[in-house]
Amino acid sequence: MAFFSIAHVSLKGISAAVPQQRVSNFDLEHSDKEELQKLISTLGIEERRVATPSQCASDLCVAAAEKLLSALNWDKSEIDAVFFVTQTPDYQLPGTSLHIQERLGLPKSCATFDINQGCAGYVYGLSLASAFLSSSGLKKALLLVGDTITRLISPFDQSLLPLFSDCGTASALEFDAKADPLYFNITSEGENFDKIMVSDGGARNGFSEASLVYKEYHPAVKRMGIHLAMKGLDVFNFSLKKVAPNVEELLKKAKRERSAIDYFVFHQANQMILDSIAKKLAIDRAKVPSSLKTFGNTSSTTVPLTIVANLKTGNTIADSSMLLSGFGVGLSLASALVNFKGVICPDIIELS
Amino acid sequence: MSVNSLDTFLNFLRLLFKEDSRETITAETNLSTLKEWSSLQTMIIVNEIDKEYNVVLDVDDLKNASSVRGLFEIVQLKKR
Repeated sequence: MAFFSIAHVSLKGISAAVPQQRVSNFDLEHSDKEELQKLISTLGIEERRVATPSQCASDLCVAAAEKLLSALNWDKSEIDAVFFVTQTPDYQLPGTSLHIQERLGLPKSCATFDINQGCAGYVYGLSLASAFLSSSGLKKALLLVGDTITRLISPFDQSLLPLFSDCGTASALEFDAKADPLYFNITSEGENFDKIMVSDGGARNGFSEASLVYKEYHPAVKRMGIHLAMKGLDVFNFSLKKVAPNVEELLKKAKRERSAIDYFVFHQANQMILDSIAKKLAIDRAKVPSSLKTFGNTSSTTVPLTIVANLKTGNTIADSSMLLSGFGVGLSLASALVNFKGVICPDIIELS
Repeated sequence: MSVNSLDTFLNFLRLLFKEDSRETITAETNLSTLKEWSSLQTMIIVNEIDKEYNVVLDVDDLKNASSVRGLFEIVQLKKR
């Protein structure tokens, strides 16, 4: 279990951008309306944001970053590094963070990193960007986390269509000798790499004609090799079994009482999973914000989006001690303890 | 009735299905043959069993259980 702490890094700001296009789950095609209603109430997802064919995760992240930099009044020339976490990059290569550096008008002295991570991606990215600032002597970094995961979902996959939604986020990090330490607990289960995957289009199974052939896996599930496949029950099982112990271990090793945490912001997989984890940890539901109803499962961005959507008061996030936890594709699981103090937060952007 | 009895388990499971199909569920029913059986229904059952019995069933458990009685036995075995 990778438990570690990182000193001298402060989160200064956080922002999110979503596509303007809303899709209602009530409008989904379903042979049984009663069953659809049950699905919506179990998932807790009524509406989702779906990117247009020309909107990329990078576009949403760039919009979120521009607004955040302006709200923070940060000089772009001072940004030392950009970390871009995504599973939906603009191109196979080069890394999208490079183009983002140019699009944001960041200096050539800026280091750029692309990180392939999903549901645990925000916490993963936070650990990397913080460790980089803490140890490099550099001062300011942007952590951009975004996905247009709906692009990967088959239009004929009724099991995944009601879940996923798109979003891009930006977080501003700064070296700060007085910052409270950040604590992390990260675990990886690579043996379950095929539980959530897109099999075709990489170097292992290159894109071919066969990648575009629809296969029926169930009367309600038809997809191609370029689409996302998820073994739902295995992932559900992983969430029920592994998240609560990971969180408990983090609190124990960081010597933090559960009662001292103001908010537990979990990956928004679905409402049933959120409720179960909260129950296992015996946490007051008021401390477990959910953005599922209107934003769905936005993959890597659920944690920052939920913070922006639920915990913003005025132009900042309420000062609070938070436990953040992401879990999913990999399978991977990453939790962090972060104290929010005066974190600037502009309104959510809706990108047309 | 004890929480550990098959009857209690049967009644508990019946409540997770629509009213009109509850009557048809017996200890010998293979749940996967029911019209209502779906990936969502499977997750709901796994989640409710976890909440009630503190046992997280996995995919193989559900495959191996050919009846409600079989599922009950797996839950009892995993509780130990």
